[in-house]
Amino acid sequence: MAKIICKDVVKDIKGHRVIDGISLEMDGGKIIGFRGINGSGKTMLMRLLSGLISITEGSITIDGKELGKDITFPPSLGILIENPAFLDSYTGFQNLKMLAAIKGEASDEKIAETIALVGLDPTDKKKYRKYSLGMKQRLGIAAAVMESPEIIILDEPSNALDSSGVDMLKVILQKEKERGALIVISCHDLAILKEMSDEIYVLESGKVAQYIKEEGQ
Amino acid sequence: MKALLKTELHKALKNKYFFITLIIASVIAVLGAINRINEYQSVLELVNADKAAHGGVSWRNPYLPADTLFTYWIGGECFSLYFSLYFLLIPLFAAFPYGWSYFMERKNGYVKNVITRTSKKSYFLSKYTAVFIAGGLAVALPLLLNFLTVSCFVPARTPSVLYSAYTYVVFSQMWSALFYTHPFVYVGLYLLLNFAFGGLIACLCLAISFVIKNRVAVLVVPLFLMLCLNFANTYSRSWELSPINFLHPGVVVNPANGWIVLLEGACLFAVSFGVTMWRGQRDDVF
Amino acid sequence: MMFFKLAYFDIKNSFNLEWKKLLVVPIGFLTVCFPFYLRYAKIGAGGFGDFWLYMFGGIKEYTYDDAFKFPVIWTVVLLYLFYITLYYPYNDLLGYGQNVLIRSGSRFNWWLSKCLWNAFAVVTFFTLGAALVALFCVFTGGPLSTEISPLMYTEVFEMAADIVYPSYTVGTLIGMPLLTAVAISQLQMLLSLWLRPIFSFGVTAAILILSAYYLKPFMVGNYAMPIRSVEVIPNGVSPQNGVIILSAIIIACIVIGGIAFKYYDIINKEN
Repeated sequence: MAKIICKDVVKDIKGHRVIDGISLEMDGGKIIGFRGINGSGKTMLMRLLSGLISITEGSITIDGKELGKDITFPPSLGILIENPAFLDSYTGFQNLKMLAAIKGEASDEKIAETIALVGLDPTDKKKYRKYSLGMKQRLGIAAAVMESPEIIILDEPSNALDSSGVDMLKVILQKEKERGALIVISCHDLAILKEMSDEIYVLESGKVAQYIKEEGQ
Repeated sequence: MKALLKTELHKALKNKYFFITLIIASVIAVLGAINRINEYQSVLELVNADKAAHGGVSWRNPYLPADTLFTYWIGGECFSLYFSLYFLLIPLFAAFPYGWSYFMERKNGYVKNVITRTSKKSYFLSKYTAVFIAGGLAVALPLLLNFLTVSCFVPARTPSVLYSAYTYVVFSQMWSALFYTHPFVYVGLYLLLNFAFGGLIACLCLAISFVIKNRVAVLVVPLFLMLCLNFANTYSRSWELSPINFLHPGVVVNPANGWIVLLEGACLFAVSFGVTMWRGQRDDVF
Repeated sequence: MMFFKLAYFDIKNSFNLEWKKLLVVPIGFLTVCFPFYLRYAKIGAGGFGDFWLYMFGGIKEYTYDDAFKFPVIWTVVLLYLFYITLYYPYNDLLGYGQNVLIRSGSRFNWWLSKCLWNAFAVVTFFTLGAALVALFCVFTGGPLSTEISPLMYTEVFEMAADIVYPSYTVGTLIGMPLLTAVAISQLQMLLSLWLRPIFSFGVTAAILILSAYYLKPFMVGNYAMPIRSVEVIPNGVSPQNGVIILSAIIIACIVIGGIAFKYYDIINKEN
């Protein structure tokens, strides 16, 4: 099971401190929630954890290996950060198949199963450019989980989802958690976050302002 | 509509791309001015050396009417790198300040906020005007800066017809009579012409935004169109077809013909304004 | 292995996204070839080498004797190529490419695959262009050789009558413009990591104009103009030196880009 340790992580962008000395530990088999107002640093922290941006100070270690030094990206990772981005001229299935071909860890059956799990039709011939926002979001979630990664990072996954979509999301996250994945999510809706997360960090101005451990999760 | 126009002008003239473009174009213009001022100083040294060698009297013709502000500014010469670079990049200078604005506002949804508060006609009219002014200023102001810089160092002698071999203004060139009689008016007219075409080229980006969905293409297609006109020019033996050349006050390849300039300007206006207003009012806003 | 997967993916993906831009290539090449044929074929020019030189010859050395007329055809052809290769890497990085990148596990592999894609795109463009010109020659009955008609130099490029009229090898006539285009395109891609694509395109345009204006070995655009070769004019640029300089530029872009990309923050920049 994966373990992420952040130690005094600082990130400056163009002279502006967006992450200011965050230290936390996250273990596999849990859902870690992040909450905060716009600009509090949630998305930036997720980008740091996924290796898309580098830290200014401090360290992030994943299973004992330092990100940016020992490893460039977490070895087993699925992400959905900001808006989902796929190729307009392909179907949902084709998009996921091309991504899966990179590591070769997900078969066609697994891809189809995952697409069905998020409430889309794996045999749908509709091109991605014709998808609604909610469908795009679902496909983004499918891309993040289809290879059964050890770390899953989802930034505002409930955006554009209807109530059935949110239920779907809860089921998927619970299943991944039981598999032993470490899931990091952010959400504006505290109720959804409380329902899904084992631990919640509230961020303010790039710092951890509050830590809430949910009992009985 | 007045308030909308004011807002659009504010957005057009106080955005960083307008300033970046102005700076880049001005750097080229000023470097061109410095280059030509240095050349003039060399010419003066030669004349003075000649005078000094002959008791204060020039033995050679100093060609004074050929060495004038109107042949030393960027619009009066056709052989420096700066003139070539500046006039080639005019389509980019025009497009860059605000030509992209409708494309981006439609992409990020901002246009919805405006159109629901006013009419499509007002929005597009204001947009067209602001884009025109921003594009025109980005092209014309650095030229003016070059002219003013050179004017501080090179005297504004009226060019002489007797020295026409040393200017790039031939008799068949548009407004050539003015060059030899009222050169300031000639320069002023060309500055206005550059302003107008700069604005029209910028508005062409606006029209292209309705058809092309790529931001870089929106900015770059006018440059390619102008270069294609430049290519067509190689097969024209009499008149200048390319705006890249006829916007220059001197003759680069062929002399400028007023009717062709007017026709091309009218076509640019018809296409840019027509497409913007027609498609702007007809298209759905998503 | 991962690198080849990424490169294959890039080539396939970019073709699907950008094939419409390639459609302009035959239209453009034929638009140039046809008037040339009508004007010069009657007086002896009409072989593959003549057409190709018309496209990629550039202009003769500029000597301040007359107004500077920049090489329109040469500029348009090369600028269009650089426009085709401009936006794909940047766009990919801010969108779908992020998912590809984290799955690949290596930033350097991603960058290398983009460099390979870039070179492949340039080679495809030149191959397509050469095929079109060859086809045009076949239809018009012109010879498929790299022989250049002497009037190309005197009539088309207005050069002095006493210059050397070389028989170009394929390497000099096609290879040097291709290698130059690869080098400048790689440089454009490297610059777009820091500048926006439109600015790096502006730098590319400036390199072409500066090269047309100044005949100097370090103005790399000169190597893409066969009529400025030392084989034609005594103070021309040497193809041998060109290969060394251009190869160095390509390698430098790959290495510098690889190092820079290692620390590159992948954030959706404001538009």
